[in-house]
Amino acid sequence: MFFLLILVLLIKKYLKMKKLFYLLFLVSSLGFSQDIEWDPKTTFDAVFDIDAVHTKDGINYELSASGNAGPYGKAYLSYVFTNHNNSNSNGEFTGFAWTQMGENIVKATLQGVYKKEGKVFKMYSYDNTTDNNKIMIVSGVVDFVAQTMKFKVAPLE
Amino acid sequence: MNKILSIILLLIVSSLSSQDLKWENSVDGNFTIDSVNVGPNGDVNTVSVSGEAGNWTVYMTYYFTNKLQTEGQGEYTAMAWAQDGKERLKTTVQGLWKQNDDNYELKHFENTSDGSQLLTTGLMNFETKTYSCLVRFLN
Repeated sequence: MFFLLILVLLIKKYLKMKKLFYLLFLVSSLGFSQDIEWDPKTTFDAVFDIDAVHTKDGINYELSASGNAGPYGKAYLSYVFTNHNNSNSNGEFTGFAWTQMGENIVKATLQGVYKKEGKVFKMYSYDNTTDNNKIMIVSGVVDFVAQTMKFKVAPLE
Repeated sequence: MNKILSIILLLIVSSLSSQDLKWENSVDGNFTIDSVNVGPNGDVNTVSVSGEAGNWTVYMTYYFTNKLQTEGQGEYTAMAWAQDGKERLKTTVQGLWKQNDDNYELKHFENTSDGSQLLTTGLMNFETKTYSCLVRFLN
């Protein structure tokens, strides 16, 4: 009888733990932390080909890319990469995006930082869009050998 | 069984759609707005702040713009210079501002002269002349 009671209590505890575990996953999947929050369900992939890169001074580089930006359709990006701290590995950028999905045109300003990591460059960006003033948080990888830019884009809540 | 399947599915979806943004350490920053310079055309407004972020004494100059004329929000760049005893640090800043009631929400990435990258969010209040922020050190 005693062992049966213990067994029942353990099962109850296990079920509670399972619920707690399940709840924790739900909470962690719904947002990030502190005041930067997005819903992973609204995160989309944006994949671009680098069309051109050029520089006029050997320090600052301008890059044009085109590709698909998830729900925003066809997208064209123009970046200016700078390096105000004279670092060999990292710097900052500004840029513009222009997208078209059918009749809808959305524009955005792009601003963030980049860092060389091995064979690729990692980029973090905040984008200010004309789509109901949505602000996007973006992370991604630029591969200048493969001539690709691959981003995860999420509207901030 | 269904719950286990849904957890696995949730994990897969979360990992596929997750941003590659991680940090462990952060410090609070508290600044005073020292000056505001409204540009002649109103298209670039300059704000200078100074204060403390962790152990650092920091001076920052912000250049606020609104390139696409979006309502109540836009973008900014900034430069920061910081000192902690013998240590010196410079950062470049790229971010977005958004009007929120009586404050302006600021969100930006920073690139530091020691190779680190920071993710900062804060509130700027022009009535109280204050800027408070949280600076996260990206992994």
